[in-house]
Amino acid sequence: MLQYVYTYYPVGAPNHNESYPGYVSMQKMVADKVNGTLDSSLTESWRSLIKVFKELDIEDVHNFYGRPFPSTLASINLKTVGYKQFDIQTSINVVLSLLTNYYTIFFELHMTKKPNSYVGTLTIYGNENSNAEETQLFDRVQQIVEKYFPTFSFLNHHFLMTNKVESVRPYGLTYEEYLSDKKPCSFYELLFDGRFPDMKHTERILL
Amino acid sequence: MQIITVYSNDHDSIIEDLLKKVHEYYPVGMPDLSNSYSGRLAFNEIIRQQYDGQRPKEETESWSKTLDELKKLPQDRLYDLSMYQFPNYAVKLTLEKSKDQEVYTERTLHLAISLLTHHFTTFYSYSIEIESLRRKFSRKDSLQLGHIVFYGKETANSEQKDLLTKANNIVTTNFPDHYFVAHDLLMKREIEGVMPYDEELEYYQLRMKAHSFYELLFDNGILRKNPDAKIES
Repeated sequence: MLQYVYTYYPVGAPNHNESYPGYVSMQKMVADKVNGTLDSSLTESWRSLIKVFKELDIEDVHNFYGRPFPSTLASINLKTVGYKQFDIQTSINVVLSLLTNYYTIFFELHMTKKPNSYVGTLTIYGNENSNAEETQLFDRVQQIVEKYFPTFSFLNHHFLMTNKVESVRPYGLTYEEYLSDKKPCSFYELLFDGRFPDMKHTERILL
Repeated sequence: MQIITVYSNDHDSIIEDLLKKVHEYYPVGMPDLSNSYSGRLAFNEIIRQQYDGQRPKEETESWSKTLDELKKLPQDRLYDLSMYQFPNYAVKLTLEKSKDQEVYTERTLHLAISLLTHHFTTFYSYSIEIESLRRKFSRKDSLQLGHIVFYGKETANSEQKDLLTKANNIVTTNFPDHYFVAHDLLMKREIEGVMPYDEELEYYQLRMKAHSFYELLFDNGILRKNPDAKIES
């Protein structure tokens, strides 16, 4: 993974992102994705994948294909459990990194306070912490991804999120923004999804 | 063989090549991986080969030829530094030493051929120290009372320039696949998140200092011994 990071980011010289060939190729991939000029077999497979997800026993699928990062992300909403003070929604996320030919799957648990919509906590966890029903779905989703993207391999999300690289400026951040908040960046943020937005009142717990 | 001179405003591709090399030999951004990183093992292997006399014969012969030819240049004394623990071939030529009462000055020509990249560099150092204080205090303390300047072609006078060109030509003749890089580019460009090979992780984490290309790929000693050195082009 570190070698992939070196390919796309000038680690150690974070002020050089924009002139680094790997970073430029990343920007091009994003442009291609947004303009719909990306490899058509990939977009076809992704569309089919979303279609299959929709047929699963779930509430809804959000397709985040158009986000400005060289990856594709689908969020499958499972169920919302309502309590007196808050709602808890579980979703399962599938992220394919176009930089590495790896994908990852993980659960997200949003706690939303009633009646307004501020997110109290967001817990992210993998299949080790999921219940039997979730594990079953996890395996089903993994099978589907493997069917449509046979060249992609699975990587544990916990590994991607807890291994961090320092002295690297994440995608889309200006140098000034980076300097104001210099912190190590996980493999997930660098190769799968961009810097995690800092949501107020949000506490992320990785499990 | 023509010498490729790189000036500080036309160096993007050199910087990129050097950064690639730093990534190859150091786990930049994840210094805690240092001891197990494959590039680091390759780095250690080169040092071992140097110590055990197992470097390719062609290369060691080129180096001894280089030394022979450098000895012919006007100088006071030549020191072969290639056995210092770093994957390089390095040499220093003391050119003039003078002592005027207490003030001790020295001018030296340095040359370092990296075994990690296909580059080499040459430059001068000029140091002034106060002799009595030098005896009294440790070297580092006395240097604060004197000073040291590293400089290259831009700052050198015509005689010194001539000597640099001669030294560069000797290297390019004997190491035809090595290219010249200006020393100030190597010394001023710094990489963050990287731990030099002879540093302990605890010590690194305490200081979190950036390190120059020169320290990482050419020679680890000279800048550390002279942290207050002034670097001119």
